[in-house]
Amino acid sequence: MTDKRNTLLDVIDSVQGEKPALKRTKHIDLSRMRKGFCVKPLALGVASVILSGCGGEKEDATIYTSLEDCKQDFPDAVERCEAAYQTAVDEAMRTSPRFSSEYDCEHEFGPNQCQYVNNSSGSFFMPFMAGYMVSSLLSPNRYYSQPLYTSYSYNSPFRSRWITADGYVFDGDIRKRKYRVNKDVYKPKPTVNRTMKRGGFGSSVRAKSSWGSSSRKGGWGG
Amino acid sequence: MFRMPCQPRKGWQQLANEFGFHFHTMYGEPYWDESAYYQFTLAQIENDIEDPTAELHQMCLAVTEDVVNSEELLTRFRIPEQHWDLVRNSWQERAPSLYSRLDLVYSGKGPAKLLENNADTPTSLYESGFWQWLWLSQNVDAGKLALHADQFNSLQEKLVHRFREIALHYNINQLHMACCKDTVEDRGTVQYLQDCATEAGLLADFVFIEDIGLADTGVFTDLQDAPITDCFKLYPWEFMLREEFGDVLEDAQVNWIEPPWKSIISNKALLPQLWKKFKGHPNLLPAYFSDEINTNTLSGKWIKKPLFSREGANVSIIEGGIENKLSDGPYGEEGYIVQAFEPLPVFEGNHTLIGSWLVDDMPAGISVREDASAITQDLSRYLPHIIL
Repeated sequence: MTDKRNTLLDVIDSVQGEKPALKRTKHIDLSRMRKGFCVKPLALGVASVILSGCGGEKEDATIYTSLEDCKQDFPDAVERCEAAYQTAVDEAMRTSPRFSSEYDCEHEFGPNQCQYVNNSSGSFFMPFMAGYMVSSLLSPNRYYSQPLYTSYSYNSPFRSRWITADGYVFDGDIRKRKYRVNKDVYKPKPTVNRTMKRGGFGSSVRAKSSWGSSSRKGGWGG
Repeated sequence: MFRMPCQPRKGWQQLANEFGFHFHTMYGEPYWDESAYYQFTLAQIENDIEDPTAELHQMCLAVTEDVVNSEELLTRFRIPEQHWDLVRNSWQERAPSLYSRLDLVYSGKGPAKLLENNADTPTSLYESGFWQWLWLSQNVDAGKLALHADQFNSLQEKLVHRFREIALHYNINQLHMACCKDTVEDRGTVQYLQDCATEAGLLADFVFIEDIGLADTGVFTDLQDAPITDCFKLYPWEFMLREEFGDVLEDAQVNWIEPPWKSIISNKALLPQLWKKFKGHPNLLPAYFSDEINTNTLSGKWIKKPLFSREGANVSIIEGGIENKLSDGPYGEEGYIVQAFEPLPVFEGNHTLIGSWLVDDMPAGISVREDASAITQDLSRYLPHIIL
C-alpha cells in the first residue's frame, strides 16, 4: 500500500503537481457492467470449491455436462456421481437466475434455453442447467457440486462461457472442462469444523430501525 | 458552478434495469434525477474541490494519529476500551483503506467547507462511479453535450486499482463482501464493489451481516461455512464494536475493509479535534464538543449533532443560545458536537451538497445531491455533473 500519512506536504505536492488530462475513468467495459439477471445475494460455491480444501494442495474441479460423463470418470463411484448430479439439480432449482418473462430469460440465455417453473417459491422462467462442477468427489468428508449455465445468446457476455448462478464467469469457453488452481500462492484459509452460532452482528440495526425514521433510507451506509 | 436543465435520456429506466441499478426510485420518490445537471469549471474542480479534499484527508489522518496515541481521546471518541488494541494495531499496521466521502458545502466560489467525513460506510458510490459516467458518455455520444465535456469521476478506475493493491497487500485472491438485509441501496453499493473487485481479479463472495457465523475454531463463517478472512463490510464500526460478535473480533483475525481505525476518522468527534489542531483552516468550520462550551452563550447559528448519528438523525440548531430540535432519532447517548452553521447553496430552490470521494488517499470524483431541506438529507436526489 502507499503510505503517505507522515508526509502531508509531499502528498499535497504530488496531488497538485501532475494532473491527468481527463478527470474521469477512461474506459469501462459496459458488457461487464450489465446485469442480465437479478443480483443473487448468495455466497455460492465457487470460492469454496476452489479454495477451501486442505491447505497447500492443488484442487481439481471438473465440469460435467451429463451424469454419464461423471460415471465414465468414476466407474467405481456411480452413486456419488448420482448424488453430485442431484445436488446440482436441487441447487439449480433453488438458486438459478429467475426471470418474470420467457423473453427476458431467452435474451440472456438464448432461444429454447429456458423452462417455466411454477412451484412453492413462485412462478418464473429459469435457464436449463448446462453442466455441473464437481470437486473432491472421492473425498470421505465432503464433495462439492454446483450447477453451471451457459448462454447461446448473441446478446450475452456469457455466450459460450461457463457461469454460476451468482454470475461468476469462468475463464475460457465451454469446451474447457478442467480447472486447476494452485492455492500455494495465496494465504491459506483457516479451518472451520462447524459454525456454532449466527446473528452476532446486526443487532444495532434491529434496535435503531425500530425507531420510526422519517428517512426513506433503510441502509446503514451514509 | 451552475445548474442546467436538460432532457432525460429516452428509456433510461430500462437501461437502469439492464445494468442492475435498482434504486433510482426509492419509496416512490425519484432519487436519480437527470432533468438537470451541474456544470463546473476545471479550476473549480481542481483548485476548490480536488486539492482541498486531498489536504483535508491528510489532516483527518493526522488527527487519527493523535487519537490512536491518546487514551483520553480514544475515550472522547467513545471507542470501547476493550477494542483500543484492535483500533491501534490496525492503524500501526497501516491496514489499507478503500474509500471515503467528504461532504462539502461549496457554492462555486470561496473555499469549500467540510461538513463531515463519511469514511466508514459511504454510499451513492455506484451512481457516482458508474451511472453518472454512463450518463455523460451517452449524452456526449448523442451530441447533447460538448465533445470535450468531462466529469470529475475516476472512481471506478481507482477502485479497481485499489482492489489490486489490497489483494497484493493481504496476499489474497478472494474476499467476502457484506451488508445488511432489506436494503436495496446498500446491496447495490456492495454489488458494485463486488464488480470492481472481480475486475481486479478477486473472487468476491457475498454474505449478509446478519448471517455471519462464528465457527468452533474462532473464525467467522459465511452461510456455506467457508471461513471469512478478508471482508469488506458496509456496516458501521461503532455498531460492530458493541455487538455480540464484537467480543470475538480480535480472535477472528479478519482483515476488514474498511479497517478498524476508520472508527476514529468517521466519528463526528473528528470535527472538533480537527478544529483544535488546524484552527482557522479555510476548509474547516469551527466545531467543539458540546460539553466543552456553554451552548447558551454561543453567538450565531450552530448545528448540534451526535457523535454517531446517521442520515441527519438527532440534529438540533442553536441560534442565539436557544436550541431547537430539527430531527428525532435513536442517537445521542454517546455525546454531541456543535459545528458552526454553514448554509448549503441554493440552486432553483434546491439545497445542494457536494460529496467528494477519495479512494485510499487520492481524490477520485464528486457526487452532487439536492435536497428540499436546508440541513437534514432525508429525501435527497442525485444529479449528474460535468466539467466544461
